[in-house]
Parts: sequence; C-alpha cells; structure tokens
Amino acid sequence: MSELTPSCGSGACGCGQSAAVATAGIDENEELAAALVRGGEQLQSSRRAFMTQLATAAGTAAVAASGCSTSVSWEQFTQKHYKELTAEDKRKLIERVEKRARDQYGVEVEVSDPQPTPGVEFAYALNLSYCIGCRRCEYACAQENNTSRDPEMHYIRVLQIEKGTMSLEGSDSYYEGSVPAPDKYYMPVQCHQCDNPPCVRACPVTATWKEKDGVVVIDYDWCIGCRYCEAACPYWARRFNFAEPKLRPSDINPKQSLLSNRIRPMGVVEKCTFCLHRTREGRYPACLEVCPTGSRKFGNLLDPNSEVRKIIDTKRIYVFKEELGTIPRFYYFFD
Amino acid sequence: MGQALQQLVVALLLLSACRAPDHEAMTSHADATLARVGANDAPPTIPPRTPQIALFPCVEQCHKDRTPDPHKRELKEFHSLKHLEHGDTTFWCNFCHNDDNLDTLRLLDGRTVSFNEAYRLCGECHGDKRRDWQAGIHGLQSGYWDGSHEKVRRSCTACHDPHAPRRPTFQALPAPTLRLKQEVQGHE
Ligand code: HEC
Ligand code: HEC
Ligand code: HEC
Repeated sequence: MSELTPSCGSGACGCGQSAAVATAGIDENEELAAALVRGGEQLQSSRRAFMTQLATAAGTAAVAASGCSTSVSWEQFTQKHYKELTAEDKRKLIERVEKRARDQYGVEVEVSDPQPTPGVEFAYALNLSYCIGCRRCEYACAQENNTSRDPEMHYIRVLQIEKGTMSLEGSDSYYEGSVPAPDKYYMPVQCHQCDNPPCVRACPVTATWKEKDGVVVIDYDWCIGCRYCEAACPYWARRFNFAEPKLRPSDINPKQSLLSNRIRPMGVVEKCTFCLHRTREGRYPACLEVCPTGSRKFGNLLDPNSEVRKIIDTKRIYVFKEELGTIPRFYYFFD
Repeated sequence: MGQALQQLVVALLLLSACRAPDHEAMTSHADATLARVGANDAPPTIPPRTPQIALFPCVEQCHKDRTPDPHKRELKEFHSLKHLEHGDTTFWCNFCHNDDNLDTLRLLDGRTVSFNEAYRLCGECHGDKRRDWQAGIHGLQSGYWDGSHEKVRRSCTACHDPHAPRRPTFQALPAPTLRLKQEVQGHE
C-alpha cells in the first residue's frame, strides 16, 4: 500500500489544498459548491474539484488545515462515494477500517454495514416530564459510538431549563451536582434525523444524506470537513473532529459499522445515527438502554404497536423548533 | 335523565375496562392489516425481583416466630424502614404485604401475588401508569425493539421503592468540556 505523507500547508500533499489562501464569502462558496454538485453521477470528480476550488478560491486556513490528514493512503484518496461502492469495494473498505483500528489502536474490531429494513422508519420520543438530567445517556452514547475522549466529544447535550418556560434563553448544559434541581427540567438534545434536513442541503459534496429508515448518515470518507452542515443544523447536533480523535484501546467499542460508530479520522463531521448499527439489527439505542427513568422511547413509526407510535397517538407532543419546518423524527412529550 | 346518566357511567366503566389490557389481551384490531415489520407482539420478559430483595425469603429469614401486628406504629426494631412515604396517612404494611404469608403480596381483593408480580398490586391504585407500562410507554424496555430477540421490561419496583416511591435524586455525570459554537454565539 502506498502512503502519501503530505506536508500540510505546502499544497504538496495532493489533497489539493494550499495554505496560502484568499478569503472569500461563504456565499460564494455555496454557489460554487452548488454548481459543483450538479450532476450527482460525477460525485468523485466534483468533490475533488470542490476541494481544489475551496483551497485556491475561497478556503480559510482552518479549512485547509482540517482537510488534510497527516497521512492519507492512496486507497483513501481514491475512495468512491459510499453509494457508489460495489460489494467488493465495500469489503475492501471494511478491511481497511478494521486494519486501521488494529494499526492505530491495537484493537480487533468488527465492521458491518447494516441496511435499512423495508417497512421500518425510526422515530424517537423523549419524556420531558421524567428526564432528570443525569447525563447517563450522554456518556453511554460516547462509549457506544467511539467518539473522541480527548478532545471530548458528546453527541447528546442535556439542557437544564427553568420550569414553566419553554425558552432556551438561560438554559444551561454545564450544570453539576445533584439532579433534578428544584424548579428545573431537563431536555436532552441530539440529532433529530429531520425529514427535511438543512444539514443535508448544506453539504456541498453530498457526503451526508437521508436513508430510507429516516436516519441521516455521513460518509466519513467523503466528508471534506467544511462544516457547513454543522452551521446549518438548528439542533446543534453535528460535531467536527478538529483534532485526531483520541481513544484508549479499552474505550473502543469493537462492534462498528461503516455509516455510524467506526472510529473517525480528523477533519470530518459526525453525529448521532440513532445507533444504526444496533437499531438496524433490532436493538434499542444505547442512550435508551441506560436511562434510569425510562424517559427515552424508540421504535418503528410504521408499526402502530410500537412505543413511539403509541406515544405520538396518545401523549402531548412537542416538536423542537417546529416552525423551521425541519420535520424531525425526534419528538418530546409530556406525561 | 337519571337513567341516561347511569348508562353513561356503565359505558364509561366498560370503556375503561377495555383500556386496561393484560399482556394476554394486548391486541390491535384496527391496525392488524397494516405493515407489521418489527411488531413487538411477544410479551416482554419481566426480570424477577426476588433475587434483588436482600431480605427475601422474609418468613424464613425473620418472620418465622413473629406474629404480624397490623397496627400502624413507629417501627423501632427493624431495618432502615421507620415509616412509609407512600400514599396517604392510612397506608400501612398490610396494604401490600400479606400478613398470612409474608413471602407474598396481597391484592386489594385478597388474592395473593408474588413479589415478582408487584406490578399487579401497584396497578390496582395506579391503573394509568400500569397501562402505560404495559404499552411500553412508562418505565424502561430494553433489548430488542423488533421482537426478534428478548425484550426486557423492568418491574415497577426496579425504579420505585414501594415504601418511598418518590423520584430519587442522582448525581449528574460531569458536564461536557467542549463548548459548542452555537452556545458560544447564543441560541438562535
Ligand atoms: C405499596 C405497597 C407496600 C407497602 C405499603 C409496604 N411494602 Fe414493603 N414491599 C413492597 C414491595 C412491592 C416489595 C418488594 C420490593 C422489590 O421488588 O424490590 C416490598 C419489600 C419489602 C421488604 C424487603 C425489601 C427491602 O426493602 O429490604 C421489606 C423488609 C418490607 N417491604 C417491609 C415493609 C414494611 C415494614 C412496611 C410497613 C411499614 C411495608 N413494607 C409496606 C410493597 C409494600
Ligand atoms: C393502595 C393503593 C396503592 C398501591 C397498592 C400503590 N400505591 Fe403508589 N400511591 C398511592 C397513593 C394514594 C399515592 C399518592 C398519590 C398522590 O399524592 O397523588 C401514591 C403515590 C405513588 C407514587 C408517586 C410518589 C410521589 O410522591 O411522586 C409512585 C411513584 C407510586 N405511588 C408508585 C407505586 C408503586 C411502584 C406501587 C407498587 C409497589 C404502588 N405505588 C402501590 C396508592 C397506592
Ligand atoms: C424505568 C423506571 C420506571 C419503571 C420501571 C416504572 N416507573 Fe413509574 N416513574 C418513573 C419515573 C422516572 C417517574 C417520574 C417520577 C417523578 O416525576 O417524580 C415515574 C412516575 C410514576 C408515578 C407518579 C406519576 C406522577 O405523575 O406523579 C407513578 C404513580 C408511577 N410512576 C407508577 C409506576 C408503576 C405502577 C409502575 C409499574 C407498572 C412504574 N411506575 C414503573 C420511572 C419508572
């Protein structure tokens, strides 16, 4: 395997980015990007072109730095978009991901690629009357999804909010100590898997899309780290790896999948996927299982007997930022 | 007029009876034709409580030579349990525990149930919660949502101390260290 070891900042790494950059408006970038992604069949070349353009015309130092990994393998560089992968490509990719875990962390991992099941559309419901803000979900999620421990990355944010208000003004996600605090309630926020996802629209290279079961996924090999999706998300659910993720080997969950919890490289965006590596195999998400109050409910929206459907049919539902028209698959309810 | 009211009451009672399904009776008539992928029809497993109860079996461990005293009083001798913090002031041990066999619980109509079926007892006074629990809405179900493998449903007493069922407080795990951009800028 040939390794390209670029010296970042010189533009010699082959990633098409240069450190000498002019600054241009984000809007210009978006126009450029829109033009580039026209004709989805040419995903690969458009992404390259976008990266080149981004660097020469409109990049910023931050983007240039984050887009370059210190060591990019040839396969990685010529990687096709997830949707274009043949079975053989996928097998090779999985092998490579498993090898990387072995080389980098000395851990044997098992990477799968579970697909949506026809007739299944996921939804999540969270009981705001019962959540006590203990953050068990936040940490169980990090563990399940192999998110970086240093810098620390959590997909779930728990907001502590004044009782009797629905306003996030003055909400706090850095509270400590004993919970629930008097006169407070708690609102965990994670990716809402919107049916009308602003993040997907914002991506200039279609590295993120919505799957048939409702989960919004990211192709970590395709993501260029521009962070438009992060900015576009009204639920602040996306996270960017601005440094190489650090995990101790003992932290690593070896049950991984391509589109969810495999160990990410630096420079890509990630987020909650409803634990698709678990849920597509029929299991509940990790955050749900760990909740001591039973506030978290998950299931198939198309099954009238599922917990989530019964909740939507019988309880008082609150859709966060409903007015934005994002159509989330994550519902809050009161009991 | 009076008769109409009576009929209404009967109708409502019948309705509420229909809304209290036991596992066996959990059916979905209207929806039976819809796609049922991942339907969770199989009754979930309810882990037994007795292995969790340190003082069980109660008779053998403590109550062999004691005659239960049904009077409400301060419990001086025993355990950490001094008084009840459940329900109203009339509540006493024998509302739930079966004085004739302290290894079992007693329902309001006198039937006995095992500690493993305490939810039937709780459900007699908390019918709404019992129904939601049965539907998977109250309490916690874990394992497999799609019914392909075991689904586990916690009994009420896995979360609620029957002697003081009020929600306990927890220590929150540490706050996240990473500040989100949006938070620094303030929420939209
Ligand atoms: C609301 C019903 C209810 C009432 C009232 C009640 N108990 Fe219990 N008790 C239970 C149930 C249910 C369990 C089993 C708990 C479990 O599953 O962990 C239990 C368990 C116990 C245990 C063994 C578990 C432990 O905590 O060590 C003791 C001892 C006990 N009860 C004593 C009492 C005494 C004494 C009283 C009266 C002061 C009383 N109970 C009143 C329902 C009740
Ligand atoms: C004989 C009737 C009766 C039985 C049996 C009973 N409860 Fe209660 N429970 C009550 C009453 C009355 C209240 C007080 C309701 C209120 O204050 O609104 C209560 C309150 C509660 C509360 C709310 C406590 C709070 O302060 O927020 C919980 C939780 C609860 N019960 C759980 C249980 C569980 C679990 C069981 C079974 C082990 C059970 N109950 C059995 C009558 C009962
Ligand atoms: C997974 C844990 C869990 C299980 C299992 C569970 N509950 Fe609860 N229950 C809660 C929590 C959390 C609350 C909210 C407590 C609060 O607000 O103080 C609650 C609240 C309640 C209340 C008070 C409701 C109110 O609005 O004040 C009752 C009554 C109750 N539960 C009864 C039951 C009964 C009966 C069962 C079994 C059929 C049961 N619970 C099973 C976690 C649980």
